[in-house]
Amino acid sequence: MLSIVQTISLIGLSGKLIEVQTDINGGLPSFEIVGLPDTTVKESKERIKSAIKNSNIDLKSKKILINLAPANTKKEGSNYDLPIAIGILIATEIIKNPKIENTIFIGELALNGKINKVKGILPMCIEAKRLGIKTIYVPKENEKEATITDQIEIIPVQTLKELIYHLNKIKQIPKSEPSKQKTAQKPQTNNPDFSEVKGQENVKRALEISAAGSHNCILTGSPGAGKTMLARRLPTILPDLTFNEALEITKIHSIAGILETETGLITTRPFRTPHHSISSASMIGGGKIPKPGEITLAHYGVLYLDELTEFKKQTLESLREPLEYRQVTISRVSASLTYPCNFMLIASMNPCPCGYYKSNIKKCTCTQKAIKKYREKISGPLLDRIDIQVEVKPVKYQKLQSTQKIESSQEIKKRVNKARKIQQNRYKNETIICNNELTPKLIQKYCKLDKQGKELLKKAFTKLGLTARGYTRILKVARTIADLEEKQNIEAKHIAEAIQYRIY
Amino acid sequence: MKNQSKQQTGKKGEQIATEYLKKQGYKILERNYYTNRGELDIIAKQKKEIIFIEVKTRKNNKYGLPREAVTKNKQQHMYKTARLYLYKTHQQNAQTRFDVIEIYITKNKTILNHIKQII
Repeated sequence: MLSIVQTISLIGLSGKLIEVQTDINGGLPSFEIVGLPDTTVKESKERIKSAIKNSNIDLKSKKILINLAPANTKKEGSNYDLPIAIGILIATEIIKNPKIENTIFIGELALNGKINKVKGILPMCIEAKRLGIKTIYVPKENEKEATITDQIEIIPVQTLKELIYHLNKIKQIPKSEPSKQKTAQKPQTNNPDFSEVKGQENVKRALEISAAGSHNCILTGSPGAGKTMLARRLPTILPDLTFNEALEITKIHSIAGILETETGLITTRPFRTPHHSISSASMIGGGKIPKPGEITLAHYGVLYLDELTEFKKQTLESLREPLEYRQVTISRVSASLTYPCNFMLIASMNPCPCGYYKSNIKKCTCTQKAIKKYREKISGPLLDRIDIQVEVKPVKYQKLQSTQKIESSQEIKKRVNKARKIQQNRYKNETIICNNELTPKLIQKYCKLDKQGKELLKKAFTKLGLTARGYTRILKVARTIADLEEKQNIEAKHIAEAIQYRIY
Repeated sequence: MKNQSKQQTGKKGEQIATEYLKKQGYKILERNYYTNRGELDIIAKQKKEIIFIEVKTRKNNKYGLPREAVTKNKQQHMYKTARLYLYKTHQQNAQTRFDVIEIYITKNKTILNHIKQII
C-alpha cells in the first residue's frame, strides 16, 4: 500500500515542504530510502524499526520503499524519523484513515519509541505557517520553542505509541496553548555591573554610544588596564530586544542547535566571545551545507574579539564584507546560503607586543619594527570600519581607593534604551533599526548638520585624511550622540566627540 | 552417538524440524533446496506466507549457540537463494519470512527453538 506524509526541511533559514512517500509490498524483506538522504537519514531505518517494535507493534518484514520528494534536494538531519515511521504505519494500515491534510510531522525517534528533540523547530514552524500548513506534530521537548508561532495548531508528542493512539482517535493528545510571551523582557540577573569598574569614564561613555547606536568599537591599552573587564560588562547596558529581533535570534540559535529546552524566545542579546584560535569557516559560517558561524550567532548582539591581534589575519579580513553588508553569503558545492549577521564588533588589543607602548607606568621594550609588525596584523580597511576607537589608560591609585558612587549599568541602560527608542521611531518607515545601519541616502535625510558642525567636519576631513567611509561613520556616531542627548539635530559638539573617537 | 558424523547430526535436526513444522500446520514446499547461490534447508508455507528456514543442530555448546552460527554472511546467502526460488516459481510479490530453527540434541532429550522473522 502507498501512503504520503508531509514534513519540512530547512535550507539555511528558508523551509521547503517534503513529501514522504511510502510504498510497501510483499516480496523479500528490504528497507530502502531514496531521495538524496544523508547518513543520518539513512540510519533512521534502524531507529524506526526498533521504535515501532518497542511500541508493541508487530511489523511484518516487507519490502519497504521510502521516497523523499522532491528527490533532487539533499535531506539531512534526524527530523525525518517521525514522518517516515508514520508513513510506514499508515501504509501497513496500523494507523487507519488519519486526517493528515495540511499537517506536518517533525521528530527524531529513540529506540524505545520516545520522540527526541530536533534542531531548527522555530524556523520550521514559521516557514510551515507561511506554506499554508495548519497542524504540526513536534517533539514535546521542543514545545516551548514551537508555540512562539501563532495561528497554527501545535501538537506536542512524547512517544510514538501516544501519536498512534491520537491518529487512530483512541486517545487525543491535547494541543499546546500558544505562547503568551509577546515581548522580550529580560529578567534581572546578577551579572557583573559597570559600577564595579572604577574610573575609565571615557571608555564607559564610548561603550554607551556603541550600545546605543550599535557601533563597532575597539579598545586599546596596556595589560591590566581593564579592557576585558569593561567589555565583559557591555551586555548589561545593551538595549532591550524588540519582539521581531528576539524572534530572528531565536530562529538562528534554533538552527545552530544551541537553544535550550526551557527557553522559548531568547530574551537577551547574544554576546559571543570566540577564542582567537578560531578558523575563518567557524567565524563566518561553513561546512558542506553551510552552518551559521559566530558572526551569525552574534546577530543583533555583540561579537567580542579579545586580543584582536592574536586572531589569524585571514579570519579578521573575512569580517570585512559582513561588517559592511550585515549579511553573509556562503557558497559551497552543495548549497549557497545567505545568513544575516547584523552584529556589533567589540575588540580589544594591546598597543604593542610588550603592551606598554606610550604607557606612563612602564617602559616599552619593543623595537619599532616589532611594533610595526604587530600593528600590521590589523589592516587599514578593518580599522576603517570601526567607528569608535578608544584608549584604555591604567587607573590611578586615587581612583581605585575612592568611595565615590559610580553609575550602575541600569542607569546607563536607561539612557541607551531611550536613545534606541528614538531611533526606532525615526526609522519606523525605513528598513533599518539603528544608526549604524544608515545608508548614504538616509544619512542625507536624517543627519542634518548646523553651520558650525559642517565647518568642523570639513576641517577634520582634510586634516585627518578621512576616507569617504570615515566621513559617513563619523556622521553616524554623531547621530547617536545627539540621540543620547535627545537632540533633533546634530550639533558641532556631537561632531567633535565623534571625531575624537577615530584615533587611528 | 560416538560414530555419528556431523552430516548425520544435521540431517537428524532437519528431520526433527520438518516434523515440528508439519505439526504446527505449515506446508513443506521444499527440503534442501540447492542452487549455486547457497542452500535453504526448508521452504514452507503457512497461509499466504512463504517461509525460508535454516536449521542449526548442535550436540553441545562448545562452539557457541546454534543461532549464533547464522551469520550476516549466511543470511545473505539465504536471501539470495530465496530470491532465486521466488523468481523460478514466479511469486516475487509473495509475502515472505526468514526463520531459524535451532535444535539441541543431548543424550536423553532434544530441545527445539523456533526464531521467527530474522531479517
